[in-house]
Amino acid sequence: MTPALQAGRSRWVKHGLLALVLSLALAAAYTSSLIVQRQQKLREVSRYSLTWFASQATLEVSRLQGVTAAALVPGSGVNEDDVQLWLDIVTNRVQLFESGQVAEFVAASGELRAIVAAFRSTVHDGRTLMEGPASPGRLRRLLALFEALNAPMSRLAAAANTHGGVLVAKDQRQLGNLHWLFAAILGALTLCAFSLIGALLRHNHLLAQAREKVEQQNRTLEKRDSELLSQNARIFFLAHHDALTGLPNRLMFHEQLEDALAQQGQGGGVALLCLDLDRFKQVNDTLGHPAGDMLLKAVAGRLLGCVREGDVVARLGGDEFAVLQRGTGPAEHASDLARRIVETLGAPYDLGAGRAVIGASAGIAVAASAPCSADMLLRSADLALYRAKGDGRGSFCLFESSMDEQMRARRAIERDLREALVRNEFKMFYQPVFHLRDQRVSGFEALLRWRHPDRGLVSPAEFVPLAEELGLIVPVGEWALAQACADAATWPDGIRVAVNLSPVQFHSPGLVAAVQRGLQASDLPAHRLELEITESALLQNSKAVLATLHELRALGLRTALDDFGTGYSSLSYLRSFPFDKLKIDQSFVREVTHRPDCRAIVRSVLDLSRELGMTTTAEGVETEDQLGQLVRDGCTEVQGFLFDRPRPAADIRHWFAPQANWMGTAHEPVAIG
Amino acid sequence: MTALVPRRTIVRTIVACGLGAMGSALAGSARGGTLSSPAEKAILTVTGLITNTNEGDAASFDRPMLEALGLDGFRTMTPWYDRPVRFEGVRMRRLMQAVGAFGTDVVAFALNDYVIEIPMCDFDRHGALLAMKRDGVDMPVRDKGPLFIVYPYDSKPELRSQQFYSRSAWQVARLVVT
Repeated sequence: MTPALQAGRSRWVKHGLLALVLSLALAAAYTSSLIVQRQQKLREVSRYSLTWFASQATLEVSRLQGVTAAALVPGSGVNEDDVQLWLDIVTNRVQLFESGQVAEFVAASGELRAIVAAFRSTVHDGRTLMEGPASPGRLRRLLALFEALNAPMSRLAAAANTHGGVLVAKDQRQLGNLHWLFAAILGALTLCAFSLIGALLRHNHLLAQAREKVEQQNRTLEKRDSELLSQNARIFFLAHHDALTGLPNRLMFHEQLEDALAQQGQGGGVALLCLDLDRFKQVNDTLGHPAGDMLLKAVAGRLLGCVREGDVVARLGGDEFAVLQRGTGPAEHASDLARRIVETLGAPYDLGAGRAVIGASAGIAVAASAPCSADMLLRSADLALYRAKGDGRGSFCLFESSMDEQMRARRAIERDLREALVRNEFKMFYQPVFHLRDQRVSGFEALLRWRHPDRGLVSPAEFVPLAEELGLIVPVGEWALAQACADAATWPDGIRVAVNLSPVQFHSPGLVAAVQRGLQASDLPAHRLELEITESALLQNSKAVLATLHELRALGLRTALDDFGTGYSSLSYLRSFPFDKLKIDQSFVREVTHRPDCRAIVRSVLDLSRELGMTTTAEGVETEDQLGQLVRDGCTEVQGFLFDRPRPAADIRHWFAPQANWMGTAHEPVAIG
Repeated sequence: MTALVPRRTIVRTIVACGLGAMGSALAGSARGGTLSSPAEKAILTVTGLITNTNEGDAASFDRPMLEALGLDGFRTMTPWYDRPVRFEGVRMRRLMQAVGAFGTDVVAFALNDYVIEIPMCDFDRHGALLAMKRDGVDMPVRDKGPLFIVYPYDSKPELRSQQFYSRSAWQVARLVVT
């Protein structure tokens, strides 16, 4: 049943009940009025009896005649006074016929009117007779007068009796009608009562149904409520857990960490391990993402197997995991756990698509007794992890406060480095390069220096990697190139300038345009510019490297392969890429005089270059012996502290004098600075 | 003639009125037998269970004696007249006191030999009157006189019934207390 239909029925039942109650009230009122009518009828039945009245009149007339007759008999003891009394009584009676109900009764019939008129006239005549002078025959005449009334008076009594009977019959009929009406009303009332009971039962039934419905709805609502609650719980779980591994996510881990730190005072320390998987990306790339997901799940499982109950394992994102250890003792315990984890995660994984071996690095931070925020602890563990990864894969490292200081120092340098270009803190230094056969300075290698306002000169080995990391190397390198070109343009003809390109710079898309701008801005002929590129820049995307090299060479400048022999030093580079010059790394030059293997390498490289039509420059020449050796082996050019250290542009002018040669300068060996 | 009144009614009336009648009787007797004799023609004789008498065991009253008991009256509709009339006379209760009645009923005898038994509690409860005048005029025998027992019919519906109309005896000449 629909609720609307049920409500409709309920309303109908209510209206029905109301109508029944109203009917009952009306019936009761009508019954009451009937009872009043009935009483009225009963009263009418017991009204003044005309029959009695009429018969009394007949009787009194007879008694008057009797008394009169007795008075005629001498010695009877009855005299005229008695006759007079009865005449008065009869007079009284005749007067009664003239008013009240009796008069109405008489007026209804002509015959009765005539009888009463005769009665009245007879009484009148009798009284006249008796009030007149006494005469011997008047009693006899009186008797005769009233004897004439006997028959009519009997008729009157009979008529009254008949009338009374008619009235009684009428009353009885009306009473009978009333009775039937009353019975009908009672029957109707009984019906109403039964209907009322039925309607009430029906109403109760409907109410019960409605209650059942409401209860059912309540049950449904409760069910919905609990469903909603479980949905909420699910949403809460999803918001706080990693969908893949089911481990707490970063959000929840952070909360748990804060809780642990808040409760730290109540006993036990808190140790935090940050974990990073090594070579995870390779697994993803080679075996596919499903295998990667499997691996992450397996890692999660192994981690949970390593920790105690109460510890928290979380996936912070990607291949980053973290472990929160509560109630730990000294830091050694955390280290033990880290060792165990690194060992466990290092075991091979069977991923269906293939076996995989990955490593893990861990950084540990233990909450000190001093107040420590979750963020601080996380950063500390991250720093330790950073250090651990720096130390080599598959290791762990405990956070030390020095790391923080180093990090802070690094941050400070970073900040300064970002502003160094604007503050004009970079300087270009130049180290001369000598042509051995020509016995003259053939050019200068341009070297970038940073003059820090507080630290003084900062080594490129320190800031260049940082600049590469921060993406600053491109603008800085561009500035260095432009500055070197500008400086070189002031030098005499035939003196070249060699500028180093970092691998990042070499692969930047704007390199060729930047070189063009540098040349155009300084008006430096392209052939006087030499760009030095390290081996590491050639490792990636050889097609693009080749294209870049060709473009550069098309500008008319020269290219040199820097630090040859230190990296992968594939001979195929020499064949594949167009270089004009090969620079032999100073590590070979340093040993060339007393290590035969080094000398053999240097000699072969020099021979090879010559065969391939490339010139050679030996770096880091510090002694006369080294120089002699290189000269003997046929090296084209040399540079090093034997001749001069790098100097600012203003301090190299003396090299441009016509008589200048390396023998004429102070060239005491100086430590690298 | 007592058969005119159903016996059941009499019994019920006796039971209902007993105590009141006793009270009236005692009050009457307390007065003592100090009834003067009628100076004029007696129009009423009371006999039966009475304590105050002036002619043997009867108490006779002429018109002035009755008037001396104190006149009272009321106006009412009756079956015998078309309009309301005013009756004046002695309250039956007062009369019973005067004669020191100690019965429960009074049997009234009329000149036309009509006899009716009236429970004495009617006198207290309904204020029955022994009327001597109608509309200020003495009633002669030819107009229901000289004495007419009437009830104030307009005061209660139950008085407008055959029972009380039959107790309304006219031309009353004699009362017997039983």
